[in-house]
Amino acid sequence: MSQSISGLRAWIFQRITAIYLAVFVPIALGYLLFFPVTSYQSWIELLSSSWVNTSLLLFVFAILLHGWIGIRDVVIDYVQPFPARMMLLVLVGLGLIVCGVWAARILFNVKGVV
Amino acid sequence: MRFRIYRYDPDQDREPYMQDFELAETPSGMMLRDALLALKAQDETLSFRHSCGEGVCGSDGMNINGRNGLACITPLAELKEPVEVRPFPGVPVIRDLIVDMQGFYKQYRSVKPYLIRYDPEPEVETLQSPDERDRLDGLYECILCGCCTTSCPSFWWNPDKFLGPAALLQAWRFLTDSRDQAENDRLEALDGPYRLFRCHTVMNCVDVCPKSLNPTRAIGHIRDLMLKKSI
Ligand code: SF4
Ligand code: SF4
Ligand code: FES
Repeated sequence: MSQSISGLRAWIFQRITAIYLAVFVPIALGYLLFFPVTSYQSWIELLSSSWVNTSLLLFVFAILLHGWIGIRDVVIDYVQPFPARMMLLVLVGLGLIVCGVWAARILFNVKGVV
Repeated sequence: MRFRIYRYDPDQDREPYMQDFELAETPSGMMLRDALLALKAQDETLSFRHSCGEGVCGSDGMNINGRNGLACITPLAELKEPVEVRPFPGVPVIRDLIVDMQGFYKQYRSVKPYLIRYDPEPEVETLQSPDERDRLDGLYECILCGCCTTSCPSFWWNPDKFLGPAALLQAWRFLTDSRDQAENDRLEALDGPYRLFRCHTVMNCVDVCPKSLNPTRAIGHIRDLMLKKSI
C-alpha cells in the first residue's frame, strides 16, 4: 500500500478526503443535534436511507484513508529502523482494514434489516 | 560581550563541549564573523569556515542563538548574551563549527541543476522574454549556504532521502526555466514518498534564508505542476 499510494497521489487523497470530512462531519453533527436519535429502531431507520448509508460509507472510507496517510507520514518521519517501521505500518494498516470491513458490514446489514 | 561556542575536535575530544569566550571590544556595526575572528586570535584552535564576509559565498552558515544564519551578516547588536554559536544541526560535525555538507551537495546534484535541452544546439542563443526571465527571480539568487535545509525537520529525519528545501528550490528554478526541456523527467524524479513529499510545510526554511528566498513556495509550485500534469 505504501508503494501504491506514494508521493503525489497520497498528497491528493489526503486533500480530497480532508475536504469530504470537513463537509460531512459538521452536517452529520448538526443533523444529529436537531434530530436526536433516541432508539435502536430510529438508528436503523436513519441508516437505511441510501443517502445516509452511502455518505456514511464514504465517510468511513475517507477517514480511514486520511488516517492511513497521516500515520504513514508520521511513521516515515520518526520510525527509522526498517523492521520496526514495516511492522508498525502493517499493524496500523491491518487495524484500519478491520475497522473498514466492520463498519461496512454494519452499514450493509442495516439495509438487510429493513 | 560573552560568547558560548560549540567545540569539538574528534581527534582529541571524547565529546563536544561549550567553551565560554569574552570579547572586550565590540565596535558598533561589528558582525559575528568579525567577533569569531577576534576570538580565534585568543584561541587559534577555534575553527570555522568563512570567506567573502558579505553574505555572498555562503560558507559561514551556523546556528546562532538557536537560529541558522550567516555569521558575516549577523550584527552582534541583534544578539542576546551570551551568544550561543553551534554548527548547523542535523549534519555531521567535522570540527567545531565546520560541518560535513556532502549530503547537502549530493541532494543538490541529484536535481540536475543545469539546463537540459533535447533540441539540436541552436546557431544563436536561446532567447527568453522578459516575463520568462522574471520567473527565475527569487530562485537563482540561492547561494547554497544550507541554512534552510539544515533547519528543516524533514531533512533531519531523512537526510539521505528527502531532498531538502535548497535542492527543491533549485529543482523549481530549472522546471520553470523556459529554456529547459526536461520537465517530465524532472517531475517524475521528484515523485515518490520521500524526495519532495516529506515536506510538511513547516516553513523553517523560509524563516532562516539569509537571501529572503521562499523554498516552501517553490515546493508548492512543483506540487501544483505535478497535479496539473497528472490530470
Ligand atoms: S517547508 Fe518543507 S522544506 Fe521548508 S522547512 Fe518545512 S518541511 Fe522543510
Ligand atoms: S535557499 Fe536560502 S537558506 Fe537555502 S541554501 Fe539558498 S540561500 Fe541558503
Ligand atoms: S563569509 Fe561569505 S557568506 Fe559569510
